[in-house]
Amino acid sequence: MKKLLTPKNITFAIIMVGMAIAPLLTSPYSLRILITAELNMIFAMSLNLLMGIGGTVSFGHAAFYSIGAYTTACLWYHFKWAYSTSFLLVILITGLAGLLLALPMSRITGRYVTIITLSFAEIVNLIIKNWDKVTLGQMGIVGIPSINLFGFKFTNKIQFFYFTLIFVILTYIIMNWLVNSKLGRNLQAMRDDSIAAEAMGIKLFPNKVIVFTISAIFAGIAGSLYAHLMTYVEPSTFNANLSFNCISIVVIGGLGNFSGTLIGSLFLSILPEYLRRFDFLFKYRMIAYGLVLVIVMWLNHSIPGGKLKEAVKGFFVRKDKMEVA
Amino acid sequence: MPLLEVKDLTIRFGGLVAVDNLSFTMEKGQVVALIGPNGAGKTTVINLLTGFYTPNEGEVRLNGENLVGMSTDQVVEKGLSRTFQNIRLFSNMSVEDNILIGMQHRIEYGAFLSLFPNSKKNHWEKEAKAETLEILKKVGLEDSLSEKSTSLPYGKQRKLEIGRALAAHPKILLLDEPAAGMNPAEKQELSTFIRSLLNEVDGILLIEHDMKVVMSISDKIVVLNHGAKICEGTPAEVQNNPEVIEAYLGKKGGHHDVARG
Ligand SMILES: Nc1ncnc2c1ncn2[C@@H]1O[C@H](COP(=O)(O)OP(=O)(O)O)[C@@H](O)[C@H]1O
Ligand SMILES: [Mg+2]
Repeated sequence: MKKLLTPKNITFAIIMVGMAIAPLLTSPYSLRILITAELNMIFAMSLNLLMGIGGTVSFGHAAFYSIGAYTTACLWYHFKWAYSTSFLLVILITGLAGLLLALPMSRITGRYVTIITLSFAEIVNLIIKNWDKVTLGQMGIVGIPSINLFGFKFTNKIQFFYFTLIFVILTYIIMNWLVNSKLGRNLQAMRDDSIAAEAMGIKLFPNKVIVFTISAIFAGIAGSLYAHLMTYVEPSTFNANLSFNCISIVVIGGLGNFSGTLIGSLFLSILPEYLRRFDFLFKYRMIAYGLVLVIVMWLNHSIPGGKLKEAVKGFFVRKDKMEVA
Repeated sequence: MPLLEVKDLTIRFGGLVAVDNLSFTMEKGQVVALIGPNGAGKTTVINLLTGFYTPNEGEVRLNGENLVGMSTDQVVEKGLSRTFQNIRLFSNMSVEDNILIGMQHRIEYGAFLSLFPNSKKNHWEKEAKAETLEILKKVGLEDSLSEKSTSLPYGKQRKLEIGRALAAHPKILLLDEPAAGMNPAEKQELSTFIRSLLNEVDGILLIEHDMKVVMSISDKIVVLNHGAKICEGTPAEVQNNPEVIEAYLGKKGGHHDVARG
């Protein structure tokens, strides 16, 4: 029992209680922002698993989110599948996509990971834009109905809010189970020192594949909820901004800190709504994202300790040139 | 049959022959020391034995079974476990977690069962944590269980790394300069400790520059220079070998510690 009452879990509980009573106090407009925050929570926790625990910074996490959203949208559009059935295919397809992106990861480190993950997201987006028969291309898919759960139809946003909140809670709990298990420890060991991890008998490649797959699945779940929330999907939504925003949330909340991710999600979901009023500030968002990209790339190798010297070394020296000493 | 038999082991990096036709054996219950000047190829031998490097030629036989060609994780399963010359702890993980990683290959539940509570996972976690405490007691770190590994003082980090290697239940423990950076009192204590580890493992391969440590705990010493074995024997034999004295001290002679630089 004592182990449950960590500062992180207490933070989590407080945020969840706050979230649970929030719909009673807010307008429909604010509720929509809070649902967006919930989706960001699931999405960013999935990235934090990959970054903070797995030690891999993905600059293309939006790819999995968009695959989740489009899987849902296409299954509804072409086959009229409801949420309860499309959910399983979302897990399968985003999981496979995660596995696919993990394949080259055994051979590359550092800057190459950045380039590959960025390109992966770009390729996924190009496929969505151009595969007209399936995705309807640039037009997007409109009129996606709200969630239908084994016949029970969600008729208002409050139901949607609480449904998504359940996913947030489940995601948080599963992440914690994972982190405090053999798999989670092995991933952290690989993150801290892959050579020592190998020396202790950890197989690096299968673990990389597993963490990418799990991370992609949770991002896909968030994306599929997004499709039902917005009732439409179009390719331009899932651009690099979405990935950078997700990285920002993880970095703000703390690498490997899942309750921090929840705070980061609230912060970066609510703040832009206020910034909207200051249109001139909004324009500088891209500069901020550019800075985030550079800083995160730079700190790439010090995750999550922040050892600057190693970070610099990691940036300028190719990992495979470092000796096993 | 010897516990460990290294036969004609050779590895080249481009034009450099880092380990040159090296052969030696280790019997059960022995501490075998591998010494030689910096760059002699000692660490490379550990990398060859543990599957980090694949030799160009030669064999590594553990109880008769050839380990060459096996991956690092297979070698761990077979019973070789190592430490590193430059300490390589899992820096953002606790002392306890570092030991748990050491025994991870003996924890028999996989990725899927990691994702949710289940009796198999509970069972193994409980066993592993109980054993971790035992190992931490052995290396004198039971009070630092939940501390971050890199917040430990240097000497204790070395001990933790040895503990982590022991947690794998190896047949042979490979220690790469465990006394480096320690003061004389710590070295003395470490020597006794290493010798006592023969109760836990079948054999120990020790790389060490400090001659006092090497001479006091080794049953056999193998001397390397430029990747090749120049001499092998008991501490007394090696100490008086002219080739060793020359390799170590140069023609002019000097102090033992010259070996450091
Ligand atoms: N991966 C590698 N690539 C190229 N050269 C290497 C590699 N590993 C070791 N060496 C070289 O092999 C020689 C022996 O190194 P090492 O085994 O570390 O020496 P020691 O541990 O005895 O000080 C050195 O000249 C070193 O530069
Ligand atoms: Mg060395």
